[in-house]
This record gives sequence, structure tokens and C-alpha cells, in this order.
Amino acid sequence: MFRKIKDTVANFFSANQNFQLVKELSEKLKMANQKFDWLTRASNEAMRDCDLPSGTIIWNHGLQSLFGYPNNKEINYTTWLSLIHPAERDNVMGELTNIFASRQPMWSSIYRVKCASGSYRHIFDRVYVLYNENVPMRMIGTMQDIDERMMGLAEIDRLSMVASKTDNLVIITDPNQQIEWVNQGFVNRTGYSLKESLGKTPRMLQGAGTDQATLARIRKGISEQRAVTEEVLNYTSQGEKYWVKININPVLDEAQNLLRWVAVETDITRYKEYESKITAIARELSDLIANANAIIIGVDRNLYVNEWNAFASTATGYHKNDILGKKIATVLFHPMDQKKIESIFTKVLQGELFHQQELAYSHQDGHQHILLISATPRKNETGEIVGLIAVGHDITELTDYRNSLEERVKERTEELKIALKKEKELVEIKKQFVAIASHEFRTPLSTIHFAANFLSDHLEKLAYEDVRSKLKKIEKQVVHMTSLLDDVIVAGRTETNSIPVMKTVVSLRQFIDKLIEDVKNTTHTHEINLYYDVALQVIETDEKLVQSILTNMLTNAIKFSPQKLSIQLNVQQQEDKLTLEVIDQGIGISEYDQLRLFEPFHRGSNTHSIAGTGLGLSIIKKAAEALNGSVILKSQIDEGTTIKVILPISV
Amino acid sequence: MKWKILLIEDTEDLGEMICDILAMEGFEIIWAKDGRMGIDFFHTQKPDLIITDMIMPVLSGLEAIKYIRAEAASSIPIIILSARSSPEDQKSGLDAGASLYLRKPCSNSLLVESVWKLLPSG
Repeated sequence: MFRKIKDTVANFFSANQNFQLVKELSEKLKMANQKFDWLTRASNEAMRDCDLPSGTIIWNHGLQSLFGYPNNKEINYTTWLSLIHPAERDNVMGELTNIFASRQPMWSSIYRVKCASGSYRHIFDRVYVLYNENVPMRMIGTMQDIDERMMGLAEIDRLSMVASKTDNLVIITDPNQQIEWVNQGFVNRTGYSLKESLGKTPRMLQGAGTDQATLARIRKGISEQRAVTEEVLNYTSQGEKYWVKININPVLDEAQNLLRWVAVETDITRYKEYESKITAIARELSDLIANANAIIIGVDRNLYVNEWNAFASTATGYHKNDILGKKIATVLFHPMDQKKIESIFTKVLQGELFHQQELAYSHQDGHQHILLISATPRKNETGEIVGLIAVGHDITELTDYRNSLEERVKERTEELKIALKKEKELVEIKKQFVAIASHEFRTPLSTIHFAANFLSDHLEKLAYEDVRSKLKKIEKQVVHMTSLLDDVIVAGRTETNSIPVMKTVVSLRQFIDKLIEDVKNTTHTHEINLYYDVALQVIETDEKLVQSILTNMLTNAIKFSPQKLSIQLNVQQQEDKLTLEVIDQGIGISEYDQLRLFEPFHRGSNTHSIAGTGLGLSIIKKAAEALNGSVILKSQIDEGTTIKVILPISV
Repeated sequence: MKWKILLIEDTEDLGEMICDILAMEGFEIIWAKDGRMGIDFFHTQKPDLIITDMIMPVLSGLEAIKYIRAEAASSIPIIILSARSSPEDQKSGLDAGASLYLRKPCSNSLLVESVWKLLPSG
């Protein structure tokens, strides 16, 4: 270029002889040269002006700064061609030939040039060609050193060699996050081609659902030039969402200058879907635990509570805040049960199952409740037992109900037992009755039989008085048997009110005297001492019932005092009551027998040698009750018996 | 010589009837009204045969028989005449040493024949 200026200047000089002007122009030229030289120095580019017919090249300082050749070294067109890397030389020469032939003014190419050191540098060569009537005359241009960039591209090539093999998404950006390269994995997932991506930033992948906080963390990491790992929701070119785990790493040179960023992204969409499903399940489970209609309690390996649902709070009265972090046994269970509970839970922590057991626990209000509880070990992801979960139901009401049911069954069983015992006793009594009745009937029957036989055997030999006495005997025994039968019928009546009461006016003293006489006539053996103290002449009562009562009282006393031949009878009036009292000094009645004394056919255990039906006392009692009276009996074994009947009287 | 029979019976009318029946047969009768009295008469009157009731006050017929067989070591014929009619009662009477067990009521002829059969000459 400056040759052109020189020529212009020379022409100018030849045309104008004005020295002053020459001097001014010469100064201006010097200035222009100087400026051009500064300009070329300022750029790190080699400049050359090549005269194509001669092949001479005028270089600027770049020949030295770029390639290391001294400025005075003669490097002409041919020399320059020979410095081009043999692999690229033919290509360059061919291109130039084509350019010249087609008279194109511009040409550029990248190729390697041999430096003074012997190594090659990548240069970007751009030239402008001047033609004179289709003959190329001059070629002026610059050579830019692009060795560093080419080396960087080679590195990207190497990275992309690796990156292209992976399914992961790989993005390489310059320090300003402008995309320089993406791999096939990226293209496949995002739908953006390499060409579409170049020069853009990864922000093109973000969308409305991308978490801003995550992005802020990534930006912070990038601004601090450190590696960042995050999970990000991205969008494809079609707007489809996908999750990636992104790993961004700065690439630094030896001087720790940032060269570019490499981002490797793993598609975790399925993992994220799985995770959200798991999260949903976990939330559901946690809701279930929280709202379950069962007591759910968790404890850790040291038996401290770490789970306590709402139902547990309701059932125990302890709020979550009261109990979390406390020892389960000390809060919920009675001190006496704590060791047992801890040993049960410890076994569960060793892997044993604890199924449907009943435990008593204390409600906060102090009441005991019954818990039906199952416990299972709780394991972490590696299968190690980290605690236990217990599920329980408060079955206090159920237990109470069960207990009351058991109680009722017990009661009923007891009642049944008693009924059965009574039934057995009844059967026993009936047996006894049959035995006693048969015995008691057989004796008078026997007398009747003997008497009748005797009469028929000896009738013709017998005197009239003999016959009469035997017939009397028979008559007497029939009367005895009839009264025995009456006793049996009265005693056999189960309801006292089924005994009819027929009241008449009775002259008491005469009635008593006659009764004593009758008794004496049948027994012959005992004296009956009467103490009589009744103001009333007559009373209104059922004569037959009173007779039955007194006869039985007296015959009992006589029968059971075979050794002591006198009996005391006291008949007294106390206000509106009549008391009949018979005192003997006989064999007495044991305390055991006294309990069952008034049952029909029951006979004292010490009466085996004394005949009887076991009906006397029961008849006394029933008759007295029919008359609204009562019976009191006192007895001591071997000392005697006192029986007192108290009857209301009306005039 | 009249055979001497000891009757142990507590029932008045029945005792009288038995005495009448046996007297008609020509026996001499000693009547005791309970077991203890029966044992006394056994020692004092030296009867040839005993007729006894079972159930009596003071001492029962069964106890009287046991005494006569064991304590007195006597082989005197003993007839039980009892209102107790069960086989168990019969067995306990015979086990105690009675020669015969008659159930009440029994006919006069059965009683008389039994007495004759058990007397030494019979």
C-alpha cells in the first residue's frame, strides 16, 4: 500500500516543482508511513504486499513477531509457498491458481506456516488481488495467528469424541456460556440441532416450570467459576418437559484462566417420575399414619418415641409434643410393666414380630386402658433395623365387655351349679322320702298284717275281748297311716300359701290339754310339763294347723330325747302374739343340720337309730307361715333343743 | 321245756302283736324295747333265739347283733325283722351276723316257721 503512496508522491513531484509543497507532502508522507507502521504494530497480524510479476514481498514487523524471521530476511512469493505445511501447500497453491484464473479479488484460507523455530503455526490468511487487464499484479493481505483457537478446537474435538459416545447430554460453551458444541445425545433429547444451538446459551432450554432458585444457584456457581451440580427441569424444542441432573465444570488453562464450560446432563425424567410417585406414596402413607383410626407409635433403637399419630394422642391423652423423644415405657406404662414392655420391644428390635398382644397402659388421666398391639421392626434402605412401628387399638371397652361377659357367664354357671345341686338334692330327698316313707308305712302295715293274720288264724279260739283289741290295733294303725299321709301331702306342697287356712274360734286351754293327752297316749313314755300364761279365753285361728304344729313339736321332742323322759311346753301370750315353746334335753341338732332343718325329708345326721319321716319341722314351718307366724329354733348337740313358734292372734 | 325267745322291738303295737303270735305257738317271750335292753336280757335271760328290729333308739339292732357275735362270741340264731327293705340293708344285716332277714310286713306263718327252723331241734 505504501508503494502506491510512494508512486503517487513521485508522480506528484514530477508534475509540480514546488519545493515547499514537496517538503510539506514529504512530511505528510512520513507521517502516513509512521501511522501505518504503528497501525500494523498495534495489530498482531503479519501484513504483506506482494508484487506478483516479480514475486517480491514487502512484510511488516509481523514476519518477525509471528513467525520469528528477521525483518531483513528476503521471503518472496516462492519462499512463502515453500513455508506452507506440506499437507496444505498444494491445496493453497491450487486455490490461488483458481482465484487468479477467475480474477476474483478476495481469497482467504486457514493453513499452517513453518516458523523460524521449525514448528508450524495456524494462520488465517486474507488477501485482496489487483489485476491489470486480467493479469494479477499485486496481492495485499493480512495473516492472523489463530494457532491458539485451532488448538482449542482440537481439544473440543477430543472432548466431543468422548461426548459423542455417551447417551448423556453434553454442552460445551465459551466463558460467556455461548454454546460452542453439543453432542448427539443433546440433539436427540432436546430436538435442537448442533447448528441451531451454536452461539445460543443453555437458557434456551429453560421454561416456566424451571425452578428459579435452582437457576440462581447455578448462576452463582458459574460466577464463582466452580463446579455446579443441580437437578433442573428443561424443555425440548417441542415444549416437552424433561428432567436432567446437570453437572457443570469450568475448563481452566494452566494459568487458571477460564477457557470454557463443559456441562454434562443426565436425563433423570423417569427417576423424577418415580421419585414423585414415591413421594406421593410416602405422603399417602404419612397421611394414612397421621389420620388412621388406630394408634400408631414409632420408637427408635433406644426406645425413644419418634412417631405419634393423632389417634395415639386421642387415645392416650398425650400430645405428640409431650411424648416425642421420650422413652415409651416410662410415659405410657405402669412402672411395674416397664421392664416387660422394654424387653418385648427390644425383641422386636432384634427382628421378632409381636402380634396382637394385650398390654395395659395408663391414660394421661390416670385410668388404665387395654391396648391390643402389634409391632414390627422398621428398617432403613440397607435393611438395618432402625426402630419399630407399633399399631394398636384401645380395646378397654371390649375388654370390659368381655370381662363383664365372663363375669355373667360365671354367675350363670354358678346359678346353674346351684340349680343343679338343688336338683340333685331334690332327687336325693325323693330317694330318701321313698326309703323313709316305705319304712314309716311298713311298720304300721306290719302291725295290721300281723293282727289280721292272727285273727284269721285263731279266730275260733279267741275270746271276744282279744278279737276286739286286735281290731282296735288295726283301726289305730290305719289312723296313724292316714295322718302320716296327710303330713306327706302338707310337706310336699311347695308354696306355703297353697295351704288353706280355715279360722275358727278356739278355746285355747281346753285345746292344749286335749292335745297333750293325745300325745301322751300315743307315746306313753314322756312327761309333758305345761306352763300356761294366756289371758285370753278364746282365740281365732286354724285349729288343725295349730294342732299340727304342736303335735309335731311335742313328738319331735319326745322322739329325740330317749334318755330324758320329760318335756317342757310353754304357752304364753305376749301382747298380740301367742308363743308356743317346747324345750327338750335330747340329742340336739348339729349346726350343719340346722341349716337345712326345715327342708322336707331332711333328717339330722344323728337320727339314724330313730324312726321318722323328716317332715315334722318342715310341717311346723309351713303351718306357722300360713298363719303369718314364725319359727325360732335353738339347739346344741347332746344338750337339747328349744323350738318356739310365734303366732299372731286376733280375738 | 319252753323255747325262750328275745324280741327287741321299739314299736309298742307291733311288739304286742309279735308277742301274741309267738305265745300262741307256745314260746316264752322276753321283750326288750331297745338294743341296750336287748343285750342286757341276752346276758341275764339266756334266750334260745333273738328276733330284732333294726332301727331303734339308744342302740340299733345292727349294733346289738355285732355285739352279740363279736363281744359275746355267741352263735345264737338271730332273725332281723325290719321295715328297711333294700338289698343293701339286707346285706348289712346278714354281714353283721344275722341268721335270717325278714322284711316287714311279713306273714305270721313265715315268722313262726322261720323261728322253728332256726331253733336247735328244727
